[in-house]
Amino acid sequence: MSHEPHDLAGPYALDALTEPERRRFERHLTGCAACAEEAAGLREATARLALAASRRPPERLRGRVLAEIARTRQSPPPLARRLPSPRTRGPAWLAAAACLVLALTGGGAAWHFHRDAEHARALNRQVAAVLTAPDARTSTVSGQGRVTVVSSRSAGKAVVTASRLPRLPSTRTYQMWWLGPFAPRSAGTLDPGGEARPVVTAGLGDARRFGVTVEPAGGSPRPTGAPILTLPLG
Amino acid sequence: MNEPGGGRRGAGAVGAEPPDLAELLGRVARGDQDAFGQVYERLSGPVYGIALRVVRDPAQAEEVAQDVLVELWRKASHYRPDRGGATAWALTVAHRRAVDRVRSSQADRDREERAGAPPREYDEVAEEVGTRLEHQQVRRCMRGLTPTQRESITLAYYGGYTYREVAELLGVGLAAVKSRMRDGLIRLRDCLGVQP
Repeated sequence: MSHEPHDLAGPYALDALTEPERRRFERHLTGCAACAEEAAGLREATARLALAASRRPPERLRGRVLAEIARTRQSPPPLARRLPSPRTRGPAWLAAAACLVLALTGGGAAWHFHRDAEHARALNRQVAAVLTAPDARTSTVSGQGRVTVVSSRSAGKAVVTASRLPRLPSTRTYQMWWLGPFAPRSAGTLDPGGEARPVVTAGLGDARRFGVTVEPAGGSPRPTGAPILTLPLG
Repeated sequence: MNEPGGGRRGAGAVGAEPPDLAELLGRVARGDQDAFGQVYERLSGPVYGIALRVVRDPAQAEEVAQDVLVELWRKASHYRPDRGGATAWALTVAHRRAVDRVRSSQADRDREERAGAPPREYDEVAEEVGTRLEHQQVRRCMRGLTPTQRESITLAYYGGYTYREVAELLGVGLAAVKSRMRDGLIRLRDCLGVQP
């Protein structure tokens, strides 16, 4: 047995480990960002070994494969366990990331079975992009529910999670706003809907604060009432 | 092998990550069969090629390739762009499946034969220009490895052997084989200029 799992990066990238060794090494990778990065790089190299071996398959293969996929059900996307990339870990947003991951897994069932799997994946990527931005900043407020905003000026976006907001009648909706020395700009509506799943909203610009109001269903061009909560933006 | 007369001559088909395979996989994940047809065009060659290289038997290679391509359809939503390139992901699926096939007991007899004869060098590829250029670049970079690195990597990747088996075949220790594989791949990666 190896006492230095890192040594196995080469055999791993070459698929030269036995199944139990591979599983053990993959567990090691989840706790070692540098190892995961190295393994990914070596994988790119071994992929080139495969590309260099390319051969045109027999023509009949195409028809067989296309016929089989037409009757093969697709597997749903796995729920991400670790949203942020390990590369740019920073304490400023770590708590928020952990909070968001909790929010995601808390609402996991709903999210997992979301009908539009690709939408979930795309959202996942957008969330990760904001969370891993070098200038990501976190604000949280608790009161009537709990709202966390992770914002990145460089991305011009924010990731918002809300939980335990009071239910609204179907004629009303929560709406998010960018606030500053300008008229409030809408940042979209927020559907707490029981499950806390993150919303990515653009248009941060030079906004100083983030606010939430209760508006008629569908949202309003400008706030019709006072915010139920506001947060400072970094 | 003659150059094909068709339109793949020249740039664009060469090696590196095709720009939108990741996007195609995203569409495939949503059940888009046309997008899968394009994925097939891109990947059936390398998938079949690596399967043939590892399992040797064309009929078995075809079965492996079919399994892999259907698995790419089934698991397209499992591809994670933040974990590496789409081509590397897909070809890892392919290579693992091929390796599983030769490691299953059914293929034991073939393994005996393969153990006796060293795997052929790059002698049987290159039917398209893109493949040929890829092949030349990989061969050039493989020449830059030490002979022992090259031998270890070739036995493991194209031969489908575990690193323990490679150590046995080459009569060297496990630690030496592990570091040859890792150091060799690092050198190969740097020579090919690839990035995760």
